[in-house]
Amino acid sequence: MNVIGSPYNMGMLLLAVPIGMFFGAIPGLGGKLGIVMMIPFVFGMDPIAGAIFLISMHAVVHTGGSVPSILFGVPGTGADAATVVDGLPMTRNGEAGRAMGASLGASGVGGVIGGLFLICILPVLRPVILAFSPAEFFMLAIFGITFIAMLSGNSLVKGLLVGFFGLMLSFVSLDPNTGAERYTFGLLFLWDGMDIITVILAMFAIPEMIALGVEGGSMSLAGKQKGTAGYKGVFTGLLDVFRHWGLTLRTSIMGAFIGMIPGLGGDAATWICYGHAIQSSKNPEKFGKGAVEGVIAPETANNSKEGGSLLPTLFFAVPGSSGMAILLGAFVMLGIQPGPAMALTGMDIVWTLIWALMIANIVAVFFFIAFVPMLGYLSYVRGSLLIPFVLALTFLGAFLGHRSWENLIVLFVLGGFAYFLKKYGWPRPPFVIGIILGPIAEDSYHKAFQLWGYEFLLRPGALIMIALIIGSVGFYIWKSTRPKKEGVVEYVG
Amino acid sequence: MSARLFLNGRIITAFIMLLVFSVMTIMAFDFPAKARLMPLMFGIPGTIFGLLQLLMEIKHAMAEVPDESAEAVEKAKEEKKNETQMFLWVFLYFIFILGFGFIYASPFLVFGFLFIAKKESLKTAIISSICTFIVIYGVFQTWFQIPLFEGLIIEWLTG
Repeated sequence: MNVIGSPYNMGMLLLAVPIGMFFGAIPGLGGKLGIVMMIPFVFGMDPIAGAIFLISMHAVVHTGGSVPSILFGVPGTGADAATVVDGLPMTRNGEAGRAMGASLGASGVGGVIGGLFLICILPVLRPVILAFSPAEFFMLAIFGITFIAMLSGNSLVKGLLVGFFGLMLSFVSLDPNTGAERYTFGLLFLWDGMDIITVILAMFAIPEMIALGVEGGSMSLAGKQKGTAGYKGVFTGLLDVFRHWGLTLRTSIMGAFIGMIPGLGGDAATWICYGHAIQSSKNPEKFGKGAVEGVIAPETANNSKEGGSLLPTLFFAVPGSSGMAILLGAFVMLGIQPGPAMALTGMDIVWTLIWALMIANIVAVFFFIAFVPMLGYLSYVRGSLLIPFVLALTFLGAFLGHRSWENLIVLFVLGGFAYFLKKYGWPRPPFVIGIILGPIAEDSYHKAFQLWGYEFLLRPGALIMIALIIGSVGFYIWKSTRPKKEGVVEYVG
Repeated sequence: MSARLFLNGRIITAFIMLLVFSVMTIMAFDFPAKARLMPLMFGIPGTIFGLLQLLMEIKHAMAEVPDESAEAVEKAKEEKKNETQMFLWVFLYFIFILGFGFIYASPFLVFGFLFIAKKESLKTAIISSICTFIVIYGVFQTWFQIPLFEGLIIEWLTG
């Protein structure tokens, strides 16, 4: 009632939604920077109103982030990169409107389900979070890494190589256990590891822009009359979310659950859900070529994980993601003290934030729906007009990631190589899985090994995860070996 | 035959991948035991897969009969020209931003790309260039107060 009942609070929410979407839509800015920049704006404000503003802004960042991913193949964050895999082919097929409609609907539904999940899990929160130890983290990371094979399509060796390439690059840093330099060549900017945003922009944005310049034409290969950039396409996409209700529900819950586990990182949620969409689909061969399920799965997870990550942030003062860590600091500045005491004295704030999270996601859908068809028509703009702007934004995004000019060198070198990967049919999505899950797998392995030795593999949680890995890989192999109606499997290079 | 194999893009790409894995794996042997565990866990199979892929690409290239029709040759030539042009522009973006920073280089590059490379009208190029300046300087630098990279040459000149 704090949200809907107060015109002032509702006004803050309505103001926060477009700002959050704007920060999400610009590569390199993102939700974290958005919160940091808006802290002075909310400082001194009524704590509830300020918290509503910040949480609403943070909740819809990924809704905006899907736009450049779908239209230009330029993901703003690692989490948005999963949307590129099928979103961009949909744009190329003239279905930009449908892709954005599906993304919008999935984001909205995911955000609401994430909030509902939060409400349902409140009574059993503590044992669930405590059940996750480094052993379970490690197995969950391995579970994600097995999706490399599923994202490889018909070129398994190439897919594994690109995935392992991502994993190897994720080890470029000071080793967290020994402090030894690994592949840093004495360069200070590599001590913290490769900047995720830079390498993702290099793997996706640079090759797409070079390819667009080489091929000519527009992002959409279909003619305007055949395309679905208008409202018709957007509503088709929105309906797709409900047509695939089972997938929407499952990936929303999975996203919220993964978001809830501190330390796993929200980026992992979208890729695990994307992998699940391929695995559970009756037509996995469509993925990477413009399957709407490939947009729905990561987008639901993207928004629902914010609901999940709010839980440990509020009740244990342990942020579920880096964005939540900044939000935690902002809450403290506003006078809201997250921690176990919240369950006793601050439940009204918790409920307000849960409602703000859900309402912001719904408002984002209605707010954005007015602009989506207009944005969809960008896919028909001549490539020659788009390329210079997108390239400038891509370089800017790479710099903003760590505010380091050396990232521009990484972007240029890796981007040039990634173009040839695209040209010669090497699937690029496994790279992102590798670079995101590599550090999680390594860190949790060493922690688990130090705590329990190799017996960590026999812990109940780890055994459940092992069974899940064997089951999912086995199920995928069984499905892949069944005779198919369509022969060729081809993934986005 | 050997020259064609040597210049085959597929083979070069697979070779670079093999090279990256081999070098990273060899380097990993010098790390302390804990630090090398994961790099070796993925580096060794990566090297093996890289070699396998390279052999597959060589086999594929040797079996391939090149299409030498006039149309195919012309298409390949055009593609190569466009690729070279795009790589040159990405390189120019990289070098100019590195040298002169975002505020000065971005509008200039947008103008150059539109007017010189894509032969757009002068009006379109100028308007686009101004819009880029407004976004980079007005929105990012002034409104958001994000300190943008000034460029190595500008930094050196201004001390």
